Amino acid sequence: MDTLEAAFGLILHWDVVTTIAIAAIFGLFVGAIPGLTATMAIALLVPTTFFMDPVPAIGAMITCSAMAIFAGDIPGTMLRIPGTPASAAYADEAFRMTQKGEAEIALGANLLFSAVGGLFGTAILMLMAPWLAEVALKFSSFEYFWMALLGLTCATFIGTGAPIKGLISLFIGLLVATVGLNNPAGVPRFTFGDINLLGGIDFISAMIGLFAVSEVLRVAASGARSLPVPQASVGNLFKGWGRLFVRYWPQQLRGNILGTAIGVLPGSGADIAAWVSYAVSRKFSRTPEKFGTGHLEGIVESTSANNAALGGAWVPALVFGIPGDSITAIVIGVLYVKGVNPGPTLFLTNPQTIYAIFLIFIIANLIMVPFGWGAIKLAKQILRVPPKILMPVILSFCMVGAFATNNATFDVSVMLVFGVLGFIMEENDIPIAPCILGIVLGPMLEQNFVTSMIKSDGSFLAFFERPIAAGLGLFTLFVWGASFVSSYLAQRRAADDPSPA
Amino acid sequence: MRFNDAVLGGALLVFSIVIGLWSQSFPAIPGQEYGAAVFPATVATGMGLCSLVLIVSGLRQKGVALAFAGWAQDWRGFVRILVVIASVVFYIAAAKPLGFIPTMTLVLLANLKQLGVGWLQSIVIAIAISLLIQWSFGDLLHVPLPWGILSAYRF
Amino acid sequence: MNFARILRGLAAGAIATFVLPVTMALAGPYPDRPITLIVPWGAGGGTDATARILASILQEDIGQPVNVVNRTGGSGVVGHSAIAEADPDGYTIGLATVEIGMMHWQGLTKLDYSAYTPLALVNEDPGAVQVSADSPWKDLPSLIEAIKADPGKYKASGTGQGGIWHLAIAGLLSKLEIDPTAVPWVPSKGAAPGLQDLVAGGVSIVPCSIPEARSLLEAGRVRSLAVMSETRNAAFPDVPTTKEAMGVSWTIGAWRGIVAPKGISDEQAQTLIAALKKAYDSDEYKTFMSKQGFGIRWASGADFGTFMKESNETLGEVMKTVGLTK
Repeated sequence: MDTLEAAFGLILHWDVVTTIAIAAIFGLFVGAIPGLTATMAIALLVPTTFFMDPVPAIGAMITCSAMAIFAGDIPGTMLRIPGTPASAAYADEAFRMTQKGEAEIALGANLLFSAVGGLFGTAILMLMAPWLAEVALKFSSFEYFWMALLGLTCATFIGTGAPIKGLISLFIGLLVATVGLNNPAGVPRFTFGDINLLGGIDFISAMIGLFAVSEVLRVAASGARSLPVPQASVGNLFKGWGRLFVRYWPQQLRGNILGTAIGVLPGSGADIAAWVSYAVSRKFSRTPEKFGTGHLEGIVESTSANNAALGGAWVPALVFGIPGDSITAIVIGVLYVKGVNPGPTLFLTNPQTIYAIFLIFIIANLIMVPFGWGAIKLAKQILRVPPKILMPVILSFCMVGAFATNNATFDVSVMLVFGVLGFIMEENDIPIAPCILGIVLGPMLEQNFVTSMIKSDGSFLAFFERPIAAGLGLFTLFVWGASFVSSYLAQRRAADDPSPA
Repeated sequence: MRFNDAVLGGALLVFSIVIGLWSQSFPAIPGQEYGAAVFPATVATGMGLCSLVLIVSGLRQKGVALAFAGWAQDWRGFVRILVVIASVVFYIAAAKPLGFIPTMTLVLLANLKQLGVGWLQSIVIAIAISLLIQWSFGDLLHVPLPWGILSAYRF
Repeated sequence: MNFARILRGLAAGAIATFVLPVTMALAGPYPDRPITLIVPWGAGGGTDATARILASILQEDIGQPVNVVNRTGGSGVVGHSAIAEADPDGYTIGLATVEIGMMHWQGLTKLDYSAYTPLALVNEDPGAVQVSADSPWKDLPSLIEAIKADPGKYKASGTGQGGIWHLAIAGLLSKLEIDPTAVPWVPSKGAAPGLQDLVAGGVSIVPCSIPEARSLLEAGRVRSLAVMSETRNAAFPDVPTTKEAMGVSWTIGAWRGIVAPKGISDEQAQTLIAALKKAYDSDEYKTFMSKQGFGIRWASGADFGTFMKESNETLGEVMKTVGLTK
């Protein structure tokens, strides 16, 4: 208890509180702008932390990242432009709710479950960090290969309509991921000798193009004659929350657990957590046909997961100094500068700092509620702007966002090409979500496949030799088998049933 | 603007064959069997198989090779799409020499006008948004947006 | 038509803005506007952190903001090209890294150190040989014996194919007259995933720098057998140099330095070097680097140019022996 008191003492200073409040607003702002990720928000904070004490410095980073991940949902829901990659998984679903006039319900749920997910991740971090970090350290390329393959299997659950078109979309994404030099062999692929393509196709610019620019093109094609969709007001937010919480508690819990687990594994973070959770939610849903039509269930699960992943990513970062995602990679550097050296001994030698970090996590997720609510109310005004004005403005933000990912006009070209591609794909009922998942997971799958083959001297058996790898591998094969059998049975049933579907 | 599945599948089949053949030219990692070619070749194979399925189902459906429905029935829809694309291309070409604010103002103006917004409103919005972005991204977030001809007036 | 009038107005405005800056640019000593510092690696890495701390000290001294801009991708080719191709007006500089002496040998680009005006070397981190704490090897000779006895069995990782740590281990082996392919390289996305794989038991050796392995060294999960430099690391004085451990001198390391595009004026170069020297000598920089565990090393102007040239030749030599050149 003394430690806890000392930890409270570290936090309850006006400078710590002010820093956290400013960082919260900054995180909301950056996260809501497409093209600027939570990672970038943290990188922009780094120079200012040089002049702070350890606790406010770390507090600023925790608060900023939590806010940014939530804020990414706001433009994703209202304009179909995911503010951060972590919101991409359910941007389409949430946008359809906005089209039905339910933007406030979607965003309110995002806010609630983001906060609860964040708290869950924190609780796991507090209670099980040293133990979980040990497990995470047992993962080598064999385990990651199966993980990536499992993640890709999700793509077949995400797409609605014809599964074959979902697969094609996934393959397009996987091929996009192969462009450039960033492959295990270190040779340029599909670059046409262009220096910019050598760097590969930036995932964020491609995402802005596929989601937002394709939407701009669609609205422009029809002449933007429509009027703004009237949005229902929820009024008292807290009233609706109790109901949501009761209704969606299994989804929320599953999202939390999955999100934290994916966050703990080094190299996979909030964005992958959101994708996998969305797919899992659809797979286990009693009403999978409602997914993709503006249905809250999948949103709840994946928005819980991406915020829970943030806490999870701190587990290997604090215990072994191994970054769980790109955000903690930056934070570890700052921890060293502040003399809070990550390591198992940190929990013994410096417990009050560790507890202070935990407390800040809790505070950050609690103040997310009032701050986020304000942001939603403010941002909702955008939906009153007629589309003929809104669409050109969105286009300008897309262009700047794409430029900002790498500070190069080349990324604006990438955005445009993918905008047109996304437009053509959706005109032909090819879903774009699997394509994005392919771009995200493609490099992970290839990297871990090729390095595993090098390590095992070309033997496939090695993928089943390690206990965790064997478990994951068998599970993957089981999921595949089960999917084939169930789709075969569904076909049989359809064939036996003479009435037209 | 909907293509028949057979047309779509045919195009994808050609594409996957090109990718598959191209990837054969990638070198292997020295001393390793699995190099740069494995992954793209596998994906191209998968894509080729899917496009075959698509061709078969497209042929069964019959129907026209390219159907125009909704917005695509009106030629002005295509013009508007082309204007959006052209304005982004203009930005890519002109942003560096002209500078961000003038280029983005012109891009916004073109798009607002073509969707039927009035002149005064378009000009005010175009200039205001360009200035806002320059200030928020360029100044607050250190995104190096080019100043171009306005270099002397940077803020 | 309305539009014609607007165009005319715009043109007039454009001309006004074009003529004015020419007269205004003559005013004020260099630098009179913000400087951009291009970093060829992503936000969050050690290179990015070094650039950001330098930039924040630098801007205090020169009185103008120094904006760090990440231009990532293509194993550094994209960012290094962006520095070389920037206008040599003194307002765009960049942070070059050891890879500038490697990528042209691989045939990825024609670009090499000669495309820059060298300003200042600010950091160098030598490679070191890390093994898992569970492994049987307590010193470098026993590891080398095991490699000799069983070529191809022990794999190493810690960066991409043909990256700096790949060359570090390959160069060490060829110095010891062992075939460099006796330790196959497993490409990884950096030192951190390589170390993770080392602890997970996926690979046997990670020849990265000591600061990169630091938290796992301190946690007792990995062991450092030797450091590839002339002197021992101050933070880990128990780790011998390769010369002490094996009797052969092999030094290689990752370095970082500030460069400008070729063709900036001498005056501007001198101003920047003076400001960089001040920043390098500042307490903030020294504390930051030592707390991160990063090594510091200074060379400016022509000395830095010679340093890059030598590094370029050593690396080219190793890459030829390993068969990574084109």
